[in-house]
Amino acid sequence: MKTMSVALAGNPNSGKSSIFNKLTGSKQHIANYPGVTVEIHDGSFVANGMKVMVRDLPGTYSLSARSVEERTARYFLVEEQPDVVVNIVDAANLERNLYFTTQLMDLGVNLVLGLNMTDEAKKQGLDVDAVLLSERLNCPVVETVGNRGDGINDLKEAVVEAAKHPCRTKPIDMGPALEGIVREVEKELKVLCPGKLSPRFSAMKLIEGDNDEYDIIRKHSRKDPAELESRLSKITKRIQSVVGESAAIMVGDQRYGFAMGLARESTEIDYSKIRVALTDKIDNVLLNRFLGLPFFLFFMYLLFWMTFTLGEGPMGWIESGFGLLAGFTGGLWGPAEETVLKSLLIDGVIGGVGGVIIFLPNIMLLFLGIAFFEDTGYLARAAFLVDKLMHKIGLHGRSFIPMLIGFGCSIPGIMATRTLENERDRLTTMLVLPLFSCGARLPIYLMIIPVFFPEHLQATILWLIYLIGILLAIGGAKLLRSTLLKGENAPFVMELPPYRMPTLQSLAMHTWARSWMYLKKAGTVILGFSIAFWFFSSFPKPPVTDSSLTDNVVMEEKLSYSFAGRLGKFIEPVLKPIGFDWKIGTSLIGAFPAKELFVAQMGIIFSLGETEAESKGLRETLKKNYTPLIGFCIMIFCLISMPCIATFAVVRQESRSWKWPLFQIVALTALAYIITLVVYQGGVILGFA
Amino acid sequence: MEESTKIGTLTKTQEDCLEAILQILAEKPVARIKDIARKLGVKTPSVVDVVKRLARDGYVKYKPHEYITLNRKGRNIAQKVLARHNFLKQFFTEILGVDPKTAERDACLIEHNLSSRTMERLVAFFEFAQTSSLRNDGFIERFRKSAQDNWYGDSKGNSVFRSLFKAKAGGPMQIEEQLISLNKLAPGETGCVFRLDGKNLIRERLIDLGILPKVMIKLERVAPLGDPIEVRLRGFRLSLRKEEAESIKVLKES
Repeated sequence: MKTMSVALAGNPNSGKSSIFNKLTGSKQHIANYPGVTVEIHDGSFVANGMKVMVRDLPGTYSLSARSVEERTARYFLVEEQPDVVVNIVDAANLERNLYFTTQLMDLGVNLVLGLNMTDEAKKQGLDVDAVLLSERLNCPVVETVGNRGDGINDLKEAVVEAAKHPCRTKPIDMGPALEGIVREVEKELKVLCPGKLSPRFSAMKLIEGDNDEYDIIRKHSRKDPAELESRLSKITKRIQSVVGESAAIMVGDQRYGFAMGLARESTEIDYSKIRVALTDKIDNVLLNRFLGLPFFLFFMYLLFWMTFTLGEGPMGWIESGFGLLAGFTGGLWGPAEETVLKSLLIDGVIGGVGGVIIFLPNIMLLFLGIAFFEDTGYLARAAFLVDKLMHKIGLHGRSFIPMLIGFGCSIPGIMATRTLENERDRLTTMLVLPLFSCGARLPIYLMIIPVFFPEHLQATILWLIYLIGILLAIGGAKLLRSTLLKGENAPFVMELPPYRMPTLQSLAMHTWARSWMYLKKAGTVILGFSIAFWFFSSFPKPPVTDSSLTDNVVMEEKLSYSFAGRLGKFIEPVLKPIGFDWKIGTSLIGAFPAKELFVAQMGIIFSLGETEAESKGLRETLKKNYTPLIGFCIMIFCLISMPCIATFAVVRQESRSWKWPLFQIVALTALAYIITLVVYQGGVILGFA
Repeated sequence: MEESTKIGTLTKTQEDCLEAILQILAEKPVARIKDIARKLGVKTPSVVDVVKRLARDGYVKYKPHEYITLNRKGRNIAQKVLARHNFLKQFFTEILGVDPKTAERDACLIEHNLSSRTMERLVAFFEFAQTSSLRNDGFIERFRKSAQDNWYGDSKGNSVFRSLFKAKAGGPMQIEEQLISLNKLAPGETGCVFRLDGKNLIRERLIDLGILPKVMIKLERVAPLGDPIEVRLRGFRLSLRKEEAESIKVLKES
């Protein structure tokens, strides 16, 4: 079967992803491109005997070099030259969408226009004449309603047809003032890079003052460097003398002039339908000066309530499930049999992994809630509401979303920082993200709090811990932005899309994509390290013991003999000032791979096979050995201290360096130590010991 | 009667007078002072002065208290002026789609003040717009459609020009003084973008999103904490920080 390539390009919020999903269905994956931090989705479909490889480019308003998304889209369009480019435009927003189209036209791509969301446009009284659009643009236009799947088959056919009979679009005329210089530069570029780049597009970029374009030209030119440079500087001088400072505005004017003219011409307005849009009515409430913030807080509360309360039921089932599994596995051997394998399976694998999976319902509910806010368009409003605060600490309204996700799991949260254009904003958000207490720490709190604190205080203490995390994150961000990561803020210019009802499909996809990251961590890192820790805490075994000693003492001996125990004892002196003993120390070490393991390790150390937070035995043991102050300090330390190894890995990946994740570990551990020290010693002085 | 810009050697009033005479002569054999006065909407004594002057210069034949006719010289001028007048009226109604009453009034106003160069071009444009291939293409209809009001579905529509003309009379300096930053608009107020100051990165981002001179932009609301602001333009909603909006200079629509 013959293959062809298609790129999907268009504005954000134009419904491009829906169309991509409908085109490719399950046959899609995330492309792996070194050095590309933006997610590129690739997929394929078959139509009319052709296999069509589809690449969903990031949504952009333009093809300049100003943001990662734009550079990425531009790179793929210019360098990879797909057979067909499908430009998805929002029928209700033609003017702005067609501005982007004019840039595709400069590139001379083989264009198919997808006129999307025509249903919504009609509701607003806007009827777009697709035939007219097609005539004026000289390319096929297919009407689609992405989220319903209307027009998808027509689009598939149009794409295949376009590959067979290409329709190269012609660039728009830049008007008497500019057209002359554009053609001049075009000619020059044809000499410099014959047959390589689109001379028109390159010329336009140079005139618009796009600095990246010079490098791209250099890359593609066969001329020797000296000649290349002299020609380039001649071009620059020429442009300067003709156009000067106002280039961007002049070009923008021409493009928007065309876009506006075409949009007006092709849109029939039904004035009877013109009324205050539903989106505006909703925004009048949700973004209201007085009601806006209360609603926001209410929604956040709702989100967390849903996560914690609704998740309880499924949590219980999973818990029992794992309990059954442990019991069943244990039953495979005799009741008193103590083999290495049995211990490995029950304590290491089931104990370790179970401790993670048990929180899957909570995590999934959190991600579902966030996906709902995202797809409806409320998340943009949330960023709008909190931007002032974020800005004050040197961040960006959009930092809010990764932070929110971080409450579920740091991994997808850190990956979500990709939406931040400013590298410094990104790094800062990434570095402080672990302070937003993730789902993995929850078992720790849920183990400790009921042990040491009376019922009426329990919820308060939990909130207190979260709050401390948030405050530290804010302080940390502010500090970072004024010292190490000082610099300009990214502009906040952001579109507020109309409210939309999300489809179940998109909600499911978003929720699952992020939950999967959490699960993968469980399946790989945690499993691996659970086994490793089990090993280090089981071996070496001490020599045969005196059977007169109690079980507990025997276990304790076994433990202090093992690697893990020895390491714990070794660092005990350092831990004493903050109130910890070697047992806690060992558990903390064991929790390095994944925070959830802390509970498991404590369980192992206190010589109990059970690791569930509900276990009475562990609780009583804890109560006997430690004070509430120490319990609180444990939680503080776990809250602040170094993130799990998966976080380390992701930060390394996203920051493309080693220094930042290392810095994060060192800084967070140091911070944890200092604060725990202050809390503990302060508590002792105040008489809480 | 006022002095006005001269085209050729005759004043506006003299030309008007000749034109009026020509129009009267189309219905009656001779023109009388009172007819001219009525047509021009002025008092008879002033007409007498003008006619005397025209007679002296050889444009009309004037027999006091009797009749007035046009000489060849006068007829030429009158025909030219009338042709201009009719052409402009036709241009305004047939091409631009302006209503006849306004077209008539405006044609009277500018018929004397256009240079022949501009007139030539207007005529050429008129003829061009009437060429059959363009007519088949629906050139005029397309233009009319694009000139429709209420493009963005609100009542303000094509207010660019309303804004421009409502600005206090005067030149560029006066407008400059009236420009304010976008963030200084009150919620609900609309302005016409005049200039984008500000640094390149932000400026180019704004241009990408369509914030360009001559665009109507409305400040919809301010966030509860005082920042950022939400604006409407080109049919969509955009949020930006006040410091970013600072560099967008607009003329408030009153």
